[in-house]
Amino acid sequence: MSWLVKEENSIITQGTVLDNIPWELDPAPLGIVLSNPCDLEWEKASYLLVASLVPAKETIQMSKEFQQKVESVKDYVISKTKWKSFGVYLKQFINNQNIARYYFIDPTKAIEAPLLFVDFQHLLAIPILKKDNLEIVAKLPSPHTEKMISHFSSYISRIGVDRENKKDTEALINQLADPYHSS
Amino acid sequence: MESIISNDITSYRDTCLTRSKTNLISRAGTAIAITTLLTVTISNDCLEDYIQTNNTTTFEFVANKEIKKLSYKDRYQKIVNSDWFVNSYKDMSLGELLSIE
Repeated sequence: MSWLVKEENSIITQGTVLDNIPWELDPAPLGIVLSNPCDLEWEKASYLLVASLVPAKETIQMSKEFQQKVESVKDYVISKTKWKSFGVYLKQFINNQNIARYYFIDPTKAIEAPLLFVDFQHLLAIPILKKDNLEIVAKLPSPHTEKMISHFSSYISRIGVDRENKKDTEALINQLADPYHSS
Repeated sequence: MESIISNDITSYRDTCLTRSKTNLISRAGTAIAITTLLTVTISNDCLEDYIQTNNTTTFEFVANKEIKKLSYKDRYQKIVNSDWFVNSYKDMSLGELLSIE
């Protein structure tokens, strides 16, 4: 779980949720600080790196994957079996089980806002001299902040490699599953 | 003393009214924010733009009930229907999920 807490101290550090970020978007989303906390504490940061907080529900529901999952659904009614697998799919996001573009945060214990995703693609470096313009809103507590950062670093350092072709993959599946096989 | 009348503030609302009051006062020096407008704030960029355009560093803000910072809930309600959000996220892949557990 990654529930935000109200920020009682006025120091901007890693995991601090901020408002008034100059995204040049209207309306502008909140953001969360990704910058290294030591750099901030020892004044070694020239810029404050922030990632946007986007609405999780709509981001999921507008995605290709979600649209594919619901394309045959009528009147929003999902069969029990499909609902179960649907729940398993969504739990991956809720628990941040996987490294992905987004990191789920439930902010509702700290602020009145919808469920949110940290978007690791939507970043901004704000000159540190302008940090007084920012408004501190809440904080992602430890160890969730550290987990978020580990997801960010893993996401940003992914390396694409060639995959086995379909035929070779099929052969490998057969070898690994042996003696079990398809009916 | 220069005045930004209500209409001017309204026209500046979308881009300007985002920063803290403290910041406004510290940057403008002689700026006055009256009690009823404590929720109204202005960005440095817009403030500096206004200073240059009007050749003044003195402001008086006029009460206008329209000018009010949206709650986060209301703001996100607007975000999900905004062009930038829909254009950036509609039909996008959620990305490959690499399990770490």
